[in-house]
Amino acid sequence: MTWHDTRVRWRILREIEASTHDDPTGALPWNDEYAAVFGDRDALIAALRYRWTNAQRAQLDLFLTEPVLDEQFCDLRERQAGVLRILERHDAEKSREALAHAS
Amino acid sequence: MRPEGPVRTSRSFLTWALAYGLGRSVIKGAARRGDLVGRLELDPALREDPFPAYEQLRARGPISRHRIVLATVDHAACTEILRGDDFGVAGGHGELPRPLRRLLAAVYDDGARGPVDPPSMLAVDPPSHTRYRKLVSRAFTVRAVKALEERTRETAEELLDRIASRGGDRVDIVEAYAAELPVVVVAEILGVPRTMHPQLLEWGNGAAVTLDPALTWRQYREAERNVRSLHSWFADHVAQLRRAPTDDLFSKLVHLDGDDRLTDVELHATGLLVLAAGFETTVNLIGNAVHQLGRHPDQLALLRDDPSLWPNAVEEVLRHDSPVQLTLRIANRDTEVAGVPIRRDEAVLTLLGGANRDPEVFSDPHVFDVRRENAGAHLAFSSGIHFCLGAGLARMEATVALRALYDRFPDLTPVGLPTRRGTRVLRGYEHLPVAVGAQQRASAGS
Repeated sequence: MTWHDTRVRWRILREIEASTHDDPTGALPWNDEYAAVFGDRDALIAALRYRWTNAQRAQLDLFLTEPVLDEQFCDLRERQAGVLRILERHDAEKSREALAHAS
Repeated sequence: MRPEGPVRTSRSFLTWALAYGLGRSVIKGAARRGDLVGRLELDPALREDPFPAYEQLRARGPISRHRIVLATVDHAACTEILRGDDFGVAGGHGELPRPLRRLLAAVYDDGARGPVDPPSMLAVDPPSHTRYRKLVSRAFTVRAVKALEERTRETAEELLDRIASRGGDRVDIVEAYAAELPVVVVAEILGVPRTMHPQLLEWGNGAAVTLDPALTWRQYREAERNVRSLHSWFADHVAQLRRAPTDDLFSKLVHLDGDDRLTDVELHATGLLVLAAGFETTVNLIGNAVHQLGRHPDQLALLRDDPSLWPNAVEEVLRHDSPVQLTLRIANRDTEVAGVPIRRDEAVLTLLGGANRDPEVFSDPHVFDVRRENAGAHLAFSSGIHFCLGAGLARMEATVALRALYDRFPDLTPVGLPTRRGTRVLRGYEHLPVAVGAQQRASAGS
């Protein structure tokens, strides 16, 4: 992956974070550009999850005091509210598929 | 209220330092060095979602050794530890070395003993526990729980009427419903008059935070004030019940006599435990259920089609999103569990929330399935001699509460980001905003 590819991926992830912030549905945005860059929806979901995990690791410094740590976590969740809803909806869909598969 | 003297403040500080402060600093140090069990206590991301961390623990074997304690998410190991007499609760503070435990026992002030301090049933081992549990369990019979069911249903309907009449689609279902319902049930058990309910809720919520192991000095002081108020109220209440018995369960405990007589300290401890357990766990069970059913509308549809599934759905919430995530046990002697040697006095954290997702017991353990055949095989109520005495009550309350809620508001859906409570032992929501939806059926009574 080139630096150009990396920058495009980051731009898309930031774009999704901003555009879905107020969307209560948890629907994953999808278009031709996203398909060209990520291949399929599952790969985009994986990239969003990776970004969320990294953001937590990078920004939740356990040397901070607990009130500051909690505040930091609340801010982080608020900023990524749309992404969290996308991940939650995706997990619920996977859960439904697993149940359908089992029955 | 009389101002506190320096002696009482020093005693309080020493109690806090031993019961909470020391543990806090050890946990913090371990978490900052990357210890997974320490991080589970401190890291807000793991409070929100501890399940990936539980899987990391599972990958380390049935029991893993950490900086602070040993830990297990293995269902079989948890069951063996909770049921076996090789382990105990060591006064509720088994994480402390024996001399410090003895010191803590000596500095406790009877007027400030919380719901998890001895002689609370959570904090004593046999033979004291055996006698105590036998007496208290006489009051918590299946028949007694059944007798509370109708009152629970009426209360649920009253609360739902209030929600329906307040106008507007959005409501915080924890504040307006899940937290309110247990108050009435607990008040029925303890014989608290209706006018006292708001005060009881305030004191009870204030005292119940002591269930978490890592309170700051400031949080402890606040909790202690509420605990002292409750002790003072219980003293008057017990005296009143001795003069004039009533029909409630607590009155029956007050009137046990002969060798069965419970002391005032034991009666207060039981009352505090009923309050703390009743307030802090049932609210989480109801809140967690609403959140899960909001995430899984297909499962809610199954319950609408077949309401006989509700009791199993409650079991699945208990398994999948356990309101009590962990409990600590101490080895009474050198022993071995799942092939792992454990020395006398070593502490083992049984992570019930992780054991309830053990793939050896539950297929697709992370999937929420209200029809799961063995959902009830969870350890959410612990196991062995400390199995939750209020399990039947909690199951009844949650089943009644959820059925009534979704009968009234079939389209109820969580909206916005819910806020988790700051506690680690207990898992639940502080706020859970929902849209109740336009379709409302008439309540059963109207």
